[in-house]
Amino acid sequence: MSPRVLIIDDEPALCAGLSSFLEDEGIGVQIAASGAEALALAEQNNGLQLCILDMRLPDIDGNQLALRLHQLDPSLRFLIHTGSAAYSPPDSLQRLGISERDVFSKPLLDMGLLVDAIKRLLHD
Amino acid sequence: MKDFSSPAARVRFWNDDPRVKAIVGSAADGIIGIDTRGMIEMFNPAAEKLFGYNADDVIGRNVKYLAAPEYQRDHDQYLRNYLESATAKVIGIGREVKGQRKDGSLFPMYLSVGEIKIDGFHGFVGIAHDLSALHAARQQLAVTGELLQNIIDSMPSIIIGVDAEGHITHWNQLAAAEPRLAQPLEVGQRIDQCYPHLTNQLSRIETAILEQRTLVSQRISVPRDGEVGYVDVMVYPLAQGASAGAVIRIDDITERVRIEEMMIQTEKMMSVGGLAAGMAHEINNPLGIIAQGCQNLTRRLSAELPQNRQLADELGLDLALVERYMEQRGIHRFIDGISEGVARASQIIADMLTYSRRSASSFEPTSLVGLVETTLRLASHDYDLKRNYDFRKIRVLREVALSDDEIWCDRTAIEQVLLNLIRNAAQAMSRGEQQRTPQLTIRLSDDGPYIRVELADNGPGMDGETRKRIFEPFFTTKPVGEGTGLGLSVAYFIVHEQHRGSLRVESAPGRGSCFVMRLPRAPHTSSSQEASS
Repeated sequence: MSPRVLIIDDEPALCAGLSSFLEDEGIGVQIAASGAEALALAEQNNGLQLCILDMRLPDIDGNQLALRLHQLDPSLRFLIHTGSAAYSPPDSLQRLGISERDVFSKPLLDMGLLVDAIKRLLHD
Repeated sequence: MKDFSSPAARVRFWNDDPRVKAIVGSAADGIIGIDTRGMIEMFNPAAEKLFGYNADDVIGRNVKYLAAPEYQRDHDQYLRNYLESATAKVIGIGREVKGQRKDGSLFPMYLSVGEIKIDGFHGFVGIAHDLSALHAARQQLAVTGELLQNIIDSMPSIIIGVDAEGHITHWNQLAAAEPRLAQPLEVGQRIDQCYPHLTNQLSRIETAILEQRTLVSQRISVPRDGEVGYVDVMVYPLAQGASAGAVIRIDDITERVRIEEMMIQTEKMMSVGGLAAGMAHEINNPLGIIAQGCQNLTRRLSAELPQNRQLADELGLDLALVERYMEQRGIHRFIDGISEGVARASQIIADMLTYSRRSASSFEPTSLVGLVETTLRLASHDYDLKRNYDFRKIRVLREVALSDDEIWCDRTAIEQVLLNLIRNAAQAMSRGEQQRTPQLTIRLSDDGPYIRVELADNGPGMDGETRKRIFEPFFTTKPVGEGTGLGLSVAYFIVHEQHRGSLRVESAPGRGSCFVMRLPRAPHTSSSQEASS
């Protein structure tokens, strides 16, 4: 069964670019344009394994969203994909196992690195 | 003819006439009568007061003992010369000499001597006018003058006194040492002849005196060491007294202007930083779309991806032909161009974001020598085939004179600064046309609470205009596309704002460039309170 990844970003073109690349790698992708959509999808419990999470969303702060998603499904893994260069995971997220190496800055000049990180997290 | 051969007769000559005695007795100046050998025969009360002797003490003694020792030796000879050849040194003339009081103290006096030859009497009369008070006043005047000169000499400004027409009357040391002087200062010269750059102050001197108010001209640009310097010129009218005039005060404010320029510089960076922080997210998103689009384009046009081959088969498309087509039409070059553009834009955003980070949380004690070596290792991998420049061709000299090389810094940030300076030097030297070996000298030395780091290259150097703007954001001398114009400005920001150090450059065309950085050894007090945002 192919890994299932949820891309959470309010920029549709960005989601499209990422998902195309991941699909070419044989990764199953779903997309959420807001925190509410992401939580709804996670509640359906349809086999999501990993979230690629933008930190600035229209309805909820990315850090908060990660905590809420974790509550819904503690097995979910996270990669941060953010536009602010100075982002560093706060302690609350570090306790979930999210570290600096799970943070990717936009623009992602090599999506191959993101794929490597997905494989690393899901094969741990 | 009377007979004046007896002393008694001579004494009577001086004293017999009551009117003469009254005049002599009431005179304010000392009056002394002597015979032709110099023996005192008359000594008036003013002389008693002046020399401190009673008349009885001195009558019959030689008058020379009333003079200072240096006059005594030749006094007898004077008299003889005069009597034999009528050569007068003081007789009938008068001059300033030094008298000696009974207590041995000396004092200045004006002595005039007259000759008396009446009815067979022959003698001389001396009138001594005390000059002590005058001398004391003169001395006081000299002391006051000197004090005033000392006061104006100790002023940190150039001070020049002028009359109403602008003729120089006074000046202080700084004024005389002024390097822009067209000719040496001289009383009576018009001020613009000595200071050509003050020509337009002449009318202001007139106005200041006429209207009795201070006129200030600020930030006048003047030549200074081959570049532009700045002075403030103030014209103060003198309180109207005996003669109208003014005092001109000139302050060299070049350093202050430079500091202000630097502060404006920092302000610029801060506003760039503020803008960048707000915009970064907005710009990075579209950049991400472009970057990802390029990667997807490349991959989905490749014959290597199984999914591509599968779809092509279904559609009856020869992917190998597509690849050849794209190669011949240079399609990948365009895609690569877009990718490089994105990478550059993203680097600019990242650099601008540095300005918005006031302090780094990762300050730690660091060996500066170690940091320099690490950076040199990093830089040595740096070479550019396109521009035929290879860091390994550069001779690197290290001059370390440090008591202790530990500083409190953000290691990554200082490494970034050093790498930037070293790369710039390397690139500058590769641009120089001279044939000599490119050479980079790195000097580390103690500088009080700082460590001083100098990076000197023997490249082409830079002109004054470039040197002034070198730390400005988006200022670059590199060809379009090779530099963002942010490197040195980021370095400046890291050193000044984050580390409370200083960074400046010394350079002239043909003389290479030397960047001088001072980094504090100890943490600055506010660093612990400032949280990184």
